[in-house]
Amino acid sequence: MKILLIEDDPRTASFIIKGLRQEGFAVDHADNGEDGLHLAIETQCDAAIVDVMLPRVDGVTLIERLRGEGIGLPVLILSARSSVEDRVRGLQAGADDYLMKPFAFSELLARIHALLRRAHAQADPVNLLAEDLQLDLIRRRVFRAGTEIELQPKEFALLEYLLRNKGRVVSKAMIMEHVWDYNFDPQTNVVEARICRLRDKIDRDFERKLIKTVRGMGYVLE
Amino acid sequence: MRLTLRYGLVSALFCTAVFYLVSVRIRTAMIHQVDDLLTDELHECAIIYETQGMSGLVEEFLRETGATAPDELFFRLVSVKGEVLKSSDLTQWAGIEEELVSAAIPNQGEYRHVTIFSHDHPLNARLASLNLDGRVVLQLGLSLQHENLSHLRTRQILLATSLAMIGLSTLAGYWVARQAMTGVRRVTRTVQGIHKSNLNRRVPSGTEGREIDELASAFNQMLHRIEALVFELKEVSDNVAHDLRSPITRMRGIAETTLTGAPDLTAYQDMGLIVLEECDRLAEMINTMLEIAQSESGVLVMEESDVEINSLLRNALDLFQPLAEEKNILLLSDLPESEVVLRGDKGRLQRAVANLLDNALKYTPANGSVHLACNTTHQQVEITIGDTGPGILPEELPRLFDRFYRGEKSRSSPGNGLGLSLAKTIIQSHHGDLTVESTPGQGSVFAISLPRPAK
Repeated sequence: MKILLIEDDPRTASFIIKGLRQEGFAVDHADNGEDGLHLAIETQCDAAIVDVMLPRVDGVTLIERLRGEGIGLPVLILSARSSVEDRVRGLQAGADDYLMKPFAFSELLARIHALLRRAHAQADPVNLLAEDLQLDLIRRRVFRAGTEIELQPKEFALLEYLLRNKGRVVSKAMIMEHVWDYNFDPQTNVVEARICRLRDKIDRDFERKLIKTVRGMGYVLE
Repeated sequence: MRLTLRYGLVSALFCTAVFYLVSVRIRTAMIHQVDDLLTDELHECAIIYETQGMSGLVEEFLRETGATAPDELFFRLVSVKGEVLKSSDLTQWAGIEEELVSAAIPNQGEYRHVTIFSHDHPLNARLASLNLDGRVVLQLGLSLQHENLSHLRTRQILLATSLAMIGLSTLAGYWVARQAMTGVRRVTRTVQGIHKSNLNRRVPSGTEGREIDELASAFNQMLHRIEALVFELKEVSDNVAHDLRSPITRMRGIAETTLTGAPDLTAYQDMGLIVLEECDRLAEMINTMLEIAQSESGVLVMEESDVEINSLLRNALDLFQPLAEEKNILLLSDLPESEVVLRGDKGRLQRAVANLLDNALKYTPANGSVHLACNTTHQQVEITIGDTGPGILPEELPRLFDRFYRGEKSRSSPGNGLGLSLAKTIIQSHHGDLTVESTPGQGSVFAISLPRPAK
């Protein structure tokens, strides 16, 4: 999979490229809007990450021109500005997602994966699996090593989210947003307490612990 | 001054127009009076002619003209073709002959009135003609000298009056303008004297009238807004200077000491983690501070939608349930069954409620309880969050919602002191209010009140 990164700040570009390559992506980089647009049209990429503030051609204009050429490349916008208008403008211009700086790299990754999944029209799986853990999404039931585990609706949703991002770190903020529809990170350990409860139910009585804590970043199920 | 001049000009034009019209009307009325007189006279003459014939008529004439001065009244008997049959002494009426000739002859039984002017004679007269029987036309002329004199006198009076009126009204205009301008000048001076050091000054209302007071009031409102904006700006700058530097200090410190120490993988990992944590803390503080500042100064743009309060509260309870259990705190709720819908920014309202619940759980000790309740009246929704924590000291209550304020009992707990500030400003921007009551040693109750939309 190849990602096109259009970002003018060298340090930011540097860590994004590094992170993406670590995840196994191939990355092309342009540091201004003009070159970025050229690359997007000429080369074959699977997705693009575009910064809003770019020299020569700004991010939103770039996307407009891209869509004008009939190119349906999935695009994620990065912006340091938090105004609602910015987000709306970007999405209206044809972007598929929007992420505000500073962001957790794990979140960027999760969103890129979501974009790629959507682009390749992957059918929504009926079951999510990890080791001996099985989630039946239709009937909303959880089994581990054959035994059914009772989970409350939000606990199920949390486990589902972790499973969908299997092998990738999800931050507390991401969990808050996707599972509880809260887009901020409360100071206290609400998420930690939730994870603790979940662990009690699906990890405690089993040898292999699936849910791991990654200090400073979040949690991962693998 | 220009105002007065313009006003004076306008009133002068107006006066002139009015008085011209009056003058014309008076003259017309005078002429009508004369015409009526002449018509009556002609009518009488017609009767005499019918009864006494030509001779009787001539006799009447001679009698009439004998009684009056020759330069006042004259008569002529003319044939329909224009031949003069008989006329009175027209010596005083030099130059009038031609006019008389060209004066139109009316048809039988008809009257005609016309004003005659003589070129070399200063007099003019009103001529009335009557066609007596189709052959003879009787013409009576009455001098207009009296009327002219009256009219002249009238015009003189009118002129004097209008000059006086223009003069007086200009004076009055000047006086009124001065009054208004004094008020405006007063407001201008006051506002000019306001700069960044005395933004709390306001324009006092005066005696120059309602419009000036309205002007002063509008300025005061604007000044109030400017004061609020400048205050927010200062606050944010102060906050930036003070509280945002702490995480930076920590990050820098740990990075520097780690890098100058012996190379150690674990140490580097720790450094990385600490930098991550502090960055997240910093980002959160920046975002929250900006949000508060924007909200307080009125520049925040909220996303409005229909918000169902009950489900919002239930969601919040669900979120905090495990945490409460962990700390052995009983989380109670008292929510109405029916839906309660308000217009507002869902994300921000969620945040306000979460901040308050967060607070309550943070400061309530084990085995305590936190109680979330919602009451609705016709006009408002009241959400209360009560806890059995240590309470808040009365002297701390007024400052509780200040930014970065940490009370005595909370200094050791994690948090940046922005939670309550943000909650309060969010509620206020929804036109509601956040208040607190507390008994030290027993607990506190935070109350959110939000207005309901009128049905």
